[in-house]
Amino acid sequence: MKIKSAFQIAVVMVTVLSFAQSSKCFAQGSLTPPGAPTPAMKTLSQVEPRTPISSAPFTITQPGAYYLTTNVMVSSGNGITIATNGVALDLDGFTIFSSAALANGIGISINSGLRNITIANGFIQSGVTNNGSGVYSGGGFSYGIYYTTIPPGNVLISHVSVSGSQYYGIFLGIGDSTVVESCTVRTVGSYGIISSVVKQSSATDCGGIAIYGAQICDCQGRSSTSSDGIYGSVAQNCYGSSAGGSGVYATTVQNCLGTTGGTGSGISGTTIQNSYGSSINGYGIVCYNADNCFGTCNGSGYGISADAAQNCYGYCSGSGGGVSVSSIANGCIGYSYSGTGLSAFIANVCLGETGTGTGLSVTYNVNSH
Amino acid sequence: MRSMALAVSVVTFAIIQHACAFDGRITATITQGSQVTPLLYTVGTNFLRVEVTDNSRPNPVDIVDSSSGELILLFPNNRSFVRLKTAENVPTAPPSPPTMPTMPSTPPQQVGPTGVPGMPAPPPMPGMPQMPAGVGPQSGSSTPPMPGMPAMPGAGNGMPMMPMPPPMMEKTELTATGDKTNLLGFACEKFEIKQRGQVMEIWATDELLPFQPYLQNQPGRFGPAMIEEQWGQMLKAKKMFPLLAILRFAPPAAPGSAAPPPGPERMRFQVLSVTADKIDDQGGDLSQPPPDYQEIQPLPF
Repeated sequence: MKIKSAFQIAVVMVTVLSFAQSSKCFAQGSLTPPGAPTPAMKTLSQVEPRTPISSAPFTITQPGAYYLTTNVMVSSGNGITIATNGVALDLDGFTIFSSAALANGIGISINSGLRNITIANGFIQSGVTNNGSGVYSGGGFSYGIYYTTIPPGNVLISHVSVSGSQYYGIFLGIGDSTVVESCTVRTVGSYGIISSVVKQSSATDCGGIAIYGAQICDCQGRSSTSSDGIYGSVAQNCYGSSAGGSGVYATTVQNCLGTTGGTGSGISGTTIQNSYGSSINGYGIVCYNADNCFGTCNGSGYGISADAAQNCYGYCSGSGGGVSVSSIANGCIGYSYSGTGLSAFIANVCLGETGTGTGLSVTYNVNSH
Repeated sequence: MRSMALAVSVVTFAIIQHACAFDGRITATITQGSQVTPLLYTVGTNFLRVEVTDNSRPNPVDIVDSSSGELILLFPNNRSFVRLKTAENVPTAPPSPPTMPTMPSTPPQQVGPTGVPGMPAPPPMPGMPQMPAGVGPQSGSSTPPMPGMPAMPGAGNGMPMMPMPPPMMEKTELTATGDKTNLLGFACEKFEIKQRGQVMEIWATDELLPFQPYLQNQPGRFGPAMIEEQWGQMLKAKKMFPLLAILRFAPPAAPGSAAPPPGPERMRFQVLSVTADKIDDQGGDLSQPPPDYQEIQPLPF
């Protein structure tokens, strides 16, 4: 009986102690608030540190980041004017329009001599059209993106499309670090894109030179007049076409295609490699040194005309020449319908053929036929 | 005798004045293959205007200020124009292509900080190992001479000398042949230009005005200058105007054989008519850009 009582007392003690322990673990603090609540969320400027633009005309006078919040339109003059250094403008997929009856103003104007400008991701659109004969007229902007007086430096334009300007599409000059990347220009009365570096861009239906730059790669330029499609120091992986000028005109040309109507040259340059040029009455390819090229003409021009040519094929379906080389032709093939297939001072392992003219005309023939 | 000399001087001066003071219109055509371009030269007292009279496309118009030599290219296709100073419209010195950054002529002497206290001196470059004779680059003066090329069989027995190709960028010159004729009532002299397997025959007179080739674009570009781009400026430099110019293929002659006859025509410039007339340009319509035309920047930018 005593043992049983002692056991019951021990159980009661353990139960009491357990409760005491557990009530200590779940103890609550004071119900009195520690003080007034403080803001825990970020400010609007912290969430979106950029300045919104919701109407035009708009002038940027402070450095920083800006973005469009909607499509904007002007009835005359400039859309957006950048008047200070250090500006990043994000069009954010929106469009800058001009409804001017007669073309005037600039879609995005960069003031004289500014530095550190980025413009991206949107459209500049106005109403200039080509009547089909190369006459550009209508309303809207005179220029898509352009500067005043002194060209800007450290400028990057990317993912911007310009259409329907009376004169220039994107014009940054070429004297400083200016880059146009992944942009398109369509239907502008004069120059399409002018920049130091132009890459992965297209300028179509331009009344002047379509693309002009020091380095041009992976681009397409089409001029509807006697101006050149692509004009630069280095052109790589490009397609240029012109109604009467040169399709591609550059000092060094690699992996390009150039075509022209009329009397222009398909591709003209100093060194041309791995390229195809086509002309009607001018030169398919004309250069100092042609390497692995194919040139054609349809009339009285030349497929290929060069000082030296290696492994080239020139073809003329008219009275012109297939391949004309003033010094050494090496491993070349020339064909002409009624002119001279291949002419050279020295022809080494070459082939010249003709329909009704002269197949091969060389001063020194080394294993050529 | 003195009065005789005076009379001759007066007549000569009058002839020169007459020659230099041609006012009027000249029509001509340029034919290249199937393409025929009709041209109109309008010669005023202080200007020369050259335009294409085929209106199927909006072709550029050239206006030359006779006193300053400034050339204005009008672009009717977009109502713009560009002014080219005298040096810019003569392609004797082609402009550079769009500028590339220039590479330093020599590498920098040292890259990175110099003269930093405690900076260890860079180790000297190891010397060129002495390779076995005839293997790899040889240092010192013990480099053996390259073996001579074996003599060609038959050398000295009538083997032809290795031909020397014509120099690159051969100089193109306007050469007077001495031939003379009369075309459209003007005494003409014959000139020739040869380049790249082509020959151009030009009959030109000094009784009109210095020639102005029709330009569709800004001239003076880089790369090989084609004969079509050069002949006009050469004639202009001689202050002569062509009445007829024909560019033909001229295949090279094989050694020891006569030059083959010229091939088919590539290009022909031919004057059709010359009409002396006083040009009325009171309003400047012929000699100035229209007021609603926008001036654009000339190349290079």
